[in-house]
Amino acid sequence: MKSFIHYFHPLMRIMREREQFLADKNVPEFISDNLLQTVPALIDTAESFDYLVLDFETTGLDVENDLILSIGWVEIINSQIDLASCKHHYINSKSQIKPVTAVINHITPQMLNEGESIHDAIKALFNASKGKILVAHGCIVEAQFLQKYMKRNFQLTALPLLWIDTLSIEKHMAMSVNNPDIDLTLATTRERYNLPEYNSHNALADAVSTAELFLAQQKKLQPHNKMRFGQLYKMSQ
Amino acid sequence: MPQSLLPNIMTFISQIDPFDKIDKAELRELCAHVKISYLGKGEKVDLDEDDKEKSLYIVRTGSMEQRKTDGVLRARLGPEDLFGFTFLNSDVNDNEGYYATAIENTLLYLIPHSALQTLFKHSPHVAEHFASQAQVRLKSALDVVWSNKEKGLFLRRVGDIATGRIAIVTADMSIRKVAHEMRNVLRTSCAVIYKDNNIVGLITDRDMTKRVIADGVSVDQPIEDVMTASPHIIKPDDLVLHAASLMMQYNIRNLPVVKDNKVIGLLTTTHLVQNHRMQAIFLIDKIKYAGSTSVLASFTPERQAIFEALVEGKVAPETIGKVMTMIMDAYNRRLIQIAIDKLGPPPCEFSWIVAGSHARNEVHMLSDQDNAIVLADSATDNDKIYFKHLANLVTHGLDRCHYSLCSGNYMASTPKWCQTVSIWKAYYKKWVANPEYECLLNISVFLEIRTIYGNADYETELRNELHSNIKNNREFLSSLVKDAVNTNPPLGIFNKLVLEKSGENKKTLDVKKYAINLIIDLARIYGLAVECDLSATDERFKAANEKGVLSDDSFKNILGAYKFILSFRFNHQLVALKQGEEPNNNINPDHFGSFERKHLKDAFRIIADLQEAAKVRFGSR
Repeated sequence: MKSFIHYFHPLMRIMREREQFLADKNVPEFISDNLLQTVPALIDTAESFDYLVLDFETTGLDVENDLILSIGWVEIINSQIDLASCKHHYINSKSQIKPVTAVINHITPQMLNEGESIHDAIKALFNASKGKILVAHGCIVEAQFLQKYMKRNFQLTALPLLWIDTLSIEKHMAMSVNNPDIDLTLATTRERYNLPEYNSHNALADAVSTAELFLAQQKKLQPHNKMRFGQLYKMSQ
Repeated sequence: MPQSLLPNIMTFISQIDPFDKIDKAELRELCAHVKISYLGKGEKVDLDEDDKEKSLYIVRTGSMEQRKTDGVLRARLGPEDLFGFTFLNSDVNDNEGYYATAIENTLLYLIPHSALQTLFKHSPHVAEHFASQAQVRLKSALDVVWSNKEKGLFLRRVGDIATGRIAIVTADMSIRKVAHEMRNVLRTSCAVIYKDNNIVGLITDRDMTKRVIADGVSVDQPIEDVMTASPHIIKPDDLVLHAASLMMQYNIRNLPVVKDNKVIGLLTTTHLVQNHRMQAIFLIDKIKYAGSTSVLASFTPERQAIFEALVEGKVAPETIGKVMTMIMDAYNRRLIQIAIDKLGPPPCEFSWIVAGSHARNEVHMLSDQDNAIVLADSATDNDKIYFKHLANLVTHGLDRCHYSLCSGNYMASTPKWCQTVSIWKAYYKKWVANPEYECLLNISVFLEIRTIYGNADYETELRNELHSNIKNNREFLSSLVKDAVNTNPPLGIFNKLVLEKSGENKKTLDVKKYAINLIIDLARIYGLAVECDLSATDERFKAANEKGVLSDDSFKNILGAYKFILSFRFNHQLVALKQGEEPNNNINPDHFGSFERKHLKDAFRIIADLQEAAKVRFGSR
């Protein structure tokens, strides 16, 4: 009975999807390398894994028409955010920038011209996240843009990445106390946790902000015991 | 960390002492290695774990508590506070283990040891700010406050300012030849005279006028007939302050600066007066010639100006204490002379003895008077009436000069404290034998005594009596310890309140009661334990250290703490004076910066540690 329930746990499901994905498709090495690495078990503690917390700045939320402007990430190793691992990539994609958004996000045309190619950045991201779990605040944006990139460049669909979503976790917690109208933006959420005010609109700053929030959420969820990874993952759905 | 970096984190760190002293590029490099950790309420950081890399922790949000392994609260930390410091250096042995617990959810920035090491390698001067031991931190604190450039003349060495030229002649040269050498060759007012390669005398142009011209001495005679024999000399490494007091004491204007029997310069009064800080010298001079108490009383603003100049000039606190003591001595002596002029010569031998901070050479702007008279055993009842009048004149005179009367009546004008040397000896015997509350209070005032007028032998006699009594009653020291550790220093300044060990919060810090007095008490205990004749707090600790009773670490720690707290109080008094307020010992934590808070916390801990050590070493079980 127990194993039957486990079978439908989202974590088990993604594991099966991964196996199938790697078996079915001709996957570039940097992607398959990454996907082969992490296989968390349901009862593993959250702290036994390393995480890569990332944030994309995009020109908008329309995954078909909008573009990635920058990618920032930071690693959590042994439950500590390591600023030495910070990376911030400005993506060179001058032809497709909507000037209006670029102004809002404080990204100048120079930055975009001088930035690197999306291919290098994504490759670096996959290399860095090898052996780590991906974390984002509202990971749907990052997941969709990554998916679009994979489809366009490698004809890969349904990339079975393992995401922890701090926004989702926050929403689940709000629901469980009957408070569905809560503001779930990163800045406001951090305020509720009494985390310091960081200026946003910077992919790296948001990645670090999200990483801190992620650590804080775990303490809130399990103030006395060790957090199980399975629970975090379930709440991320 | 990439260029875009994280201004938030860097800005936060850059405003915290000592990171505010690092240049931006180095700080950015350091911030790139920061690790961030989040502790849930109740979670512990074990600072003693061997396998992990040591780090310096900065509280970003939340609060932490540090406790010793036996659970005793050591410190409470809020945003901007640092901890984990003392573990950076593996050869530090003075720290028993402690652990830190989050008392609310806490975000911590960690700076790994390796990143700090890299920083120190590139900029060695930064290392001192991060020194692992509190003593070095406190010392660096003093250095920050007193920049080298600013160090007053008092701190400078004679060699730095003695630029005067001096003629060098031999004892058999004629007066005329010496005068020629001085006037035409070197154009100096002073010549030093050698005989067999030793300095035997000094001659100045004033001496020439007085001893040669006025007395009609032939200029063909050898100079040794008129020179000042065995002149006072000074070493280039001596403090300018020392030179100044020598000049005043012996009323001399020229001091040859001598190193290894070689004259290398001349220090004259002109060198000293070129700097306004030597006002102290002029004031003492004026005091010496003041004709009445009211004239003396009129000097108070000048005395205050000197105090302010010393504090503002970042002069070492123990030096400030010494200068203020020299001034107070001068007032006191002059008042005794004025009283004697009025009452006639004293009917018997006596000595005017000062006690407490005055005896320890630790006078400050708030010091009141503690004094006594010791009379020869031959003193009659009538004689005592004379000294009662004398004491009244002097103590009230001091009061008019703003050295307020002692609230505990520990003054020569109290009959009990104007007694013959035999009675004084009996006092000491009784105090040591019965160290109960009142006796302890009396003896703690008169444990330090210093003669400033009259027969100094009495002082020695009384001190010997005290030491031999203490030797015969070991219980006495433990009573002193028991009394001294009754008061504990606060744990620190937290949320603008002074956190005391009892858990109580106070709005102000009584820096005298909760810090300075505790250190003085400890110095007294250690000083008595090694029969140290010196009474200055720092000298007592030094004596205890030299006799092996106080470890090198503890010695440096307590001295650093003492100096920091003294200068902290001086600055507080200065601020009050400048605002036209009466200075006091109660300091409002609102006025502390992050810098002071941290160093005060260190100092409090050092005091508490030494109290513990004294309890173990001298306390009775």
